[in-house]
Amino acid sequence: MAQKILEAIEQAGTNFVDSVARFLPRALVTISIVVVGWFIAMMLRWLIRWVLGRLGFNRFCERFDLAAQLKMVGLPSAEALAGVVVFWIVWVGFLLSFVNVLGFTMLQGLVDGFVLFVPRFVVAIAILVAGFVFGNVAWRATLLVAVNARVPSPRVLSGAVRALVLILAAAMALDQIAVARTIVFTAFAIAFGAVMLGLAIAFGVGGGPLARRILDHWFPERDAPDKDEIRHL
Amino acid sequence: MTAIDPLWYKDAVFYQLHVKTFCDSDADGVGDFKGLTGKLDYLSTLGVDCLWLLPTFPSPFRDDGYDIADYYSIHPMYGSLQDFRDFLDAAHARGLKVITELVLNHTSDKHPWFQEARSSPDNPRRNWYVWSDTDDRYRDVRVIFLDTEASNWAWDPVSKAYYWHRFFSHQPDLNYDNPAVREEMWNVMKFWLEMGVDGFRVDAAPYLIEREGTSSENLPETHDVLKFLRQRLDQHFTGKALLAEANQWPEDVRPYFGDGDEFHMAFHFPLMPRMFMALRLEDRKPLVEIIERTPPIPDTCQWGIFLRNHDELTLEMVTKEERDYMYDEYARDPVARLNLGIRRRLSPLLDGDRRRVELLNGLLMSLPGSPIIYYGDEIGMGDNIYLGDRNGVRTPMQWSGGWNAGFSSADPERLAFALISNPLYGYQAVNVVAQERSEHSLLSWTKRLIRVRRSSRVFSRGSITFLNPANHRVLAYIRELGKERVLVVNNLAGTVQAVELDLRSLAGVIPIEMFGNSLFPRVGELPYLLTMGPYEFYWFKLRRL
Amino acid sequence: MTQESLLSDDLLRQLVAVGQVDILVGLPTLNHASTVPDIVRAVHASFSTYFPRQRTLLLNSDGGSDDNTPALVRDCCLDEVGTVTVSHSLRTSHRISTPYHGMPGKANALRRIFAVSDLLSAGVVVVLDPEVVSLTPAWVAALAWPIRDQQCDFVAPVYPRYHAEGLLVTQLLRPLIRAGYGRRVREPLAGEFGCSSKFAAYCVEQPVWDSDLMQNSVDLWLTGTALAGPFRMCQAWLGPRVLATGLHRPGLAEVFKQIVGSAFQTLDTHADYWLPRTGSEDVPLLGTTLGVPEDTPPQDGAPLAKSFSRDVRDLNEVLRAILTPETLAAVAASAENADGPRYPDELWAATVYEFLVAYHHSVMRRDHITQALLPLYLARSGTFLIEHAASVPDAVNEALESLCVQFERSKGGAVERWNQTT
Repeated sequence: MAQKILEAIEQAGTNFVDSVARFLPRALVTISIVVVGWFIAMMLRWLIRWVLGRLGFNRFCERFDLAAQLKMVGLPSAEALAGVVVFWIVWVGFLLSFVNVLGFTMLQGLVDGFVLFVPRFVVAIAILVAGFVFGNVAWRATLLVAVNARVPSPRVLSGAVRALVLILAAAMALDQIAVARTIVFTAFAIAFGAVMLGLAIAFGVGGGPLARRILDHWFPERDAPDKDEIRHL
Repeated sequence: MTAIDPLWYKDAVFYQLHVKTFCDSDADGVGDFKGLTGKLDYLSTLGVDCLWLLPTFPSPFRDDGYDIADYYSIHPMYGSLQDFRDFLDAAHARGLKVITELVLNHTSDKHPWFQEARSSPDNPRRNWYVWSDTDDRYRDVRVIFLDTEASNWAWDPVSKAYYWHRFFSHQPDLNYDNPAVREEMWNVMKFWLEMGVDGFRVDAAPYLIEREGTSSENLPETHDVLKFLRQRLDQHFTGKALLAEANQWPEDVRPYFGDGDEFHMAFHFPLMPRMFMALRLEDRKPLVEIIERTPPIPDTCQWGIFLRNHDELTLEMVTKEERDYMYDEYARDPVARLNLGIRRRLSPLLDGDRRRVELLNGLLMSLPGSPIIYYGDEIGMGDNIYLGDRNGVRTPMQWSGGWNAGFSSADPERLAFALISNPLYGYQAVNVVAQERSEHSLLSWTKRLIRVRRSSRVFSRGSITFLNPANHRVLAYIRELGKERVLVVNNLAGTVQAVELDLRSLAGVIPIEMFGNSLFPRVGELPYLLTMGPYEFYWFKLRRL
Repeated sequence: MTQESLLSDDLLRQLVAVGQVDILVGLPTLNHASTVPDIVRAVHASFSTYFPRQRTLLLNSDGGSDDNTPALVRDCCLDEVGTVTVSHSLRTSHRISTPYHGMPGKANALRRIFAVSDLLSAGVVVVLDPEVVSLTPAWVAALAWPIRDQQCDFVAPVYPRYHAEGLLVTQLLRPLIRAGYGRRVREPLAGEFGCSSKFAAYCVEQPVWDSDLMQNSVDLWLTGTALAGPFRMCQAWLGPRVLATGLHRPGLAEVFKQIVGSAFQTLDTHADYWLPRTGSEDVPLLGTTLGVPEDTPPQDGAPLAKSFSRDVRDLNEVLRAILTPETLAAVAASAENADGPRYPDELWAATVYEFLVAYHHSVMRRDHITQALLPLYLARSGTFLIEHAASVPDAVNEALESLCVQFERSKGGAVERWNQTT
């Protein structure tokens, strides 16, 4: 009996060693892939930063206040951030390749899902960034026009415009990655509609003279100039 | 142009003159450097850029100074070396460059080198010339001066041997197989270049080396000699130019440019008679053919083109039929013929016809190459074919209608060369003073012509593309340089002509006539119709606006 | 291969007939039926009175008027021989009205006028403003003579002005251009000017005609080009500049954005020329004034200055990106000044230069930069008017000169910041 137990143990040991022997090459390959992937990801990160640096990406972001906002939330510069994002996407991609190599078929679905998710995630980020940029441009444009046209509360108006744009962008981004779609949609519709309704009421009730001033600014009449009017040219 | 532009010769308008017959300052009847210096303002106002002087070396003058007896001096009748230096300085101060003659091929038999060489077979300079015990070497070599020389060998009674001469017998050829000769000629060049001369017109370049069984013209060894001299030049100087006299077909002249390491410029001899031919034939064919036959040259090189010069209008580079035609049309009087050429000036060749003179000058200034004006042709001077050799085209410059045409205050009987005094071309009728007073004289017109040519580099550096309209009497071509284009149209006929030019590839451009800035209708898809008076020519700047 | 030409076949046919001209008067128009007859009459009289022996051409370059402007130009005063009783032209005086294609605007019209002048080798080119109703025949002569007789390449006008007139010019453009280019040009915004065909040919060759700079304000670009290029420039006295009423014009905000944007862009283009220069030199001023400005009641600057502090507060975030902290603090302090808003010369010069530098470095959209300057300009203008409400003209002129000198002094700092990379 002891002999049989010993044989069984020996067999189990042999089986274990066989499994390890079968598993080890794949593990080694996986480790190699991960290490190589790390190097590739680092290279791509450097490359992206270099390319964006040549294109003046940081300057571009400064123009649209993106750089300042990133600094405010403690994120690195736009070029660095882009590099980091690229690094992680590439490296995670390499990391997930171990599923295939090691034969973990059960996780394959998860990996596939992740692979499908990444592009949508990237698009969502792009929408957020675009929304942020456009929001800033719209904010500043509205502020300047309002100040020069002597519209009351130009900061409130321009802030509202920026908020609207950001809300829209956020909703679009969340929709892109299919997170709580119904809730997001409903909340967005309510918020957007409320803001627009509020603006319409405010404009209709108290904005008559304001509307007139804005219309005068965009569609000036052919008046004879006032003799007392200052001549700038 | 500035002195520091190494390619100045590509844009220059040259003026060839003989110091001897230009202006006499000391009343000895012979022109001199002081006299020439006094006329530099005239030349500057004319608009030329470079003066080419015929030889002024000490010489027995059996070949009008091309027989040189001393390479390092000036003949006293022209003045001193200091006079020459003063002239150079004055010319340079006016922005004028100066090139002089370099007679490489031969010397005078009176030159001390030849005197030494002939004195004994053991003399160190013996080998500076080409000697032979018999006259039957180099049998395949042609005689150039057929009218006066029977052979290229001459017997020297002093050394009891034959010596080689491609030109007159009193002009023994130097032996360029001898390195000492090459070095000495480089020393000659260096001497004048260091004084300030801007370059040389190299006389008789093709004939430097002789080899049995060849024509002894254009030999590779000759090119080696010339490359040697050019290399030395480039090592020591910048902004200098060498102009080759190589009376050959264009493809045979091409080697004289080398790869930009031989001559800077070379005369385009075959072009010249064809201008006269085309005019008489009223047909552009001879001109178009010779230019299309002309091979491309290195970018740093340039052709020298001319209508007339101090020699006969050479008819060496034409066929026999062409030569006979030229004799029949331009030299009915056999006295006008000399050495396979015609010894007449421009205006008499064209019967004094102002329109034809203008047309040929227009061709000279608009065809590819740097133009060379022969002194006196800008006022339409005449000639005297009854003077010996080529002296008929080397008469004194006619400055005024007064004493000796303003050339000299000497007694008229003392003048070295007789003035032209007939009622048609005589100095009373044709002179600078009279023509300067009129806006419509040939002189005033020539100044305008040069001014318009200089207004665009397309003429000096541009390509040429012939339009070949159906009307063969009209020679039309486009000169192009970068974005600039000029359309040149010449009526070679003595009758009014209409011509339709195919300018479709230039549809949309606006032709602007360059002398009067007149606008012409825009070029479209249809043939462009022009009507032209007898011997008329137009230069159109083609603008796209 | 054909390419689109600036000059239509019809125009070219007319130009062939005209040939070379000595004097070319260019008149760009777009719906100026109310003003062109008088202008054409004045030009016609000018030719007869001042240039009877010259070959002349009046070239109207029209942007597609729908009020019959071209016909009015062509047909005006043809029969009015009584217009000039004593003198008349010895030569045929040509008149061409031609439409141009592309965006209607002075730049496109001017480009064609310049191209024609180049083609016809015009001795003198004079360009007039179709909105000026105070134009007289003497104006054409005043702009033409320096070109013809003194070999000038560009003649800028000088108008006798009431001191409170032309604030955008006196407070901003004049000192900025003077300090920038180092030349004392009184009217950098030359609505009418004279030039040589050499200058015109040079301008035609520049690859800027389709740019925003030209569409916004070609006048400033011309002045800048004349100053920075190999050209002789001078100024000539004209009369008071009175513009027609009833014409559609953009509001101040739009005009300010265009003109100031143009000024900044012109300075950007010619940076190599003006950055190293210091001080300023006179530009010769020729002739005598051709009239006096009409009396204008004192202008009240209070409406311009009253919203100074509020504007600074509202635009604080935008101004932070443009102005240095010190300048912004000084501006805010000036706006909140207890004795009323002030805008001293030194601070104004610093403000303008910092805006210029921000424009050069494109710290944000460039049109936003110019829009942000408008409230500050209004504040400056308003405070200037308030300060000089009771001043005599000489005192005002001294103050304007002093402002220009301040701009010259403050230039060094701007040059330093210009060369820094952000």
